Amino acid sequence: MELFVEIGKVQLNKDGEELCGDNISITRHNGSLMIVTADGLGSGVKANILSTLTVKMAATMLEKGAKIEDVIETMANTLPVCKVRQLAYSTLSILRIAQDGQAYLVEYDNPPAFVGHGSQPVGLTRMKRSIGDKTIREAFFCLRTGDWVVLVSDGVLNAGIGGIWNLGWGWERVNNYLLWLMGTDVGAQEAAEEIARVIQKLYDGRPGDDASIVVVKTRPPRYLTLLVGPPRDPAQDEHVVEQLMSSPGKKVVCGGTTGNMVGRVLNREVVVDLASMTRRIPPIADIEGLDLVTEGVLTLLGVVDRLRADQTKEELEGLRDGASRLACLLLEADYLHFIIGRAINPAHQRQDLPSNLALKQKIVEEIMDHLTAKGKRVTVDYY
Amino acid sequence: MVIEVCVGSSCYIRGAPAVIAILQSLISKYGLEEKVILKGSFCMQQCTQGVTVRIDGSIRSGLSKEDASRLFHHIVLPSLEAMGGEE
Repeated sequence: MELFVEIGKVQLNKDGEELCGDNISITRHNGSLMIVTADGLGSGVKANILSTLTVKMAATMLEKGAKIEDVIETMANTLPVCKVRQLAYSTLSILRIAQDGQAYLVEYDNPPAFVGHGSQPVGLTRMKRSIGDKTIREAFFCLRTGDWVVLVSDGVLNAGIGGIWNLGWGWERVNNYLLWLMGTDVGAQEAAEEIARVIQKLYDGRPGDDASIVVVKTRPPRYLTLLVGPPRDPAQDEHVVEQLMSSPGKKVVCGGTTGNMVGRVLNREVVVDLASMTRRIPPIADIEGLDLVTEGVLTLLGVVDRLRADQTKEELEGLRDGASRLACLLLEADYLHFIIGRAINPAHQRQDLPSNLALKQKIVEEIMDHLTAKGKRVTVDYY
Repeated sequence: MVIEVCVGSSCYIRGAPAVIAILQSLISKYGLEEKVILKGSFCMQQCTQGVTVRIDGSIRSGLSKEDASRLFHHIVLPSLEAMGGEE
């Protein structure tokens, strides 16, 4: 079964610092995912430089196929030496997850990662290995749906030190808290933000150290298939509708002519909801069995506006117009499939209409680019 | 009686929302909510002709705002009266 890895992250700066001394890099490469976190020695700009160099070096080297030994060695040889402490140092954690859920964790001087399944802890077997004078811990494991991994910097474990907790929040207590939190049905980003709120509270609003949280959570992927435009060859109408209706997850149709075509093929009524009309966005319609039916180019332009403005799912939820609803569905999905029909619409060939009407395909392409940049997998078929 | 107004992209840009607003206000002005159903409809394949409406199945294209109220007074009202007379 396919697995989707959801990631949330929050970083808190040490009180009074403009820069965080921790760094997080998240990259997706050929379907596999790599998360690298580092905590640089000291705080502020010096720590930030150390941790930035570390994550960039590690992420780039590993992506190019380098071994972990090479990464640690390169770090030891190239990190600038701190004048005060005569040390070149940064902690490092690497979590690599392949598309099938196979995971590889490397930890160097960072707090051990928290791993669980719902509200149950998952014990990892970590193997120690020495590289030069440094010792790393490695673990190989497999993630299933509902598993989670939380990576933190030591600023999280130390939260509340000398105040609410004599010795800080501590690994055991954080672990118990995470088992409770992740047992509730919470998204990865929400979880990271919730943890950050607790840390802020424990530090009384003034963190004594940089604190970073990365929450990784696996779940079945959310699919969406969008049909826009009728096929160039009308003989293909039934085929594309069949493709749409047999696809998993949400089903969306964009375009008035396309909506009517789908209604005709399915022999279902297309009911326009005039109440959803706004000054700029034409109304949506309802076809039984589909999650959303919208007008085409104007609605898609509205979606582009919303994606360009980086509006979130939460901001768009509850809005009634077609563009907000469509953007919301697109942002919710992980795996999106676009079926683009290339029939020529006579309405779009007129000289007196805004020229962007003729650019529907460009608009759809921009939407796909935005979604890809957000880490979603986007595929497309043209008809 | 059913009046459908096309709300496809082309009609929308050319003023379908205004036509809907005018028809809506006329229907309520004459208290015809029970007799006239105003609906939206996706593309009626008359894209190059301007705003298009379909009244009980027959299509009229190229409507301006003024045309909308003319249509209402010259076609909708008389045919409602005719229907009322038959009953």
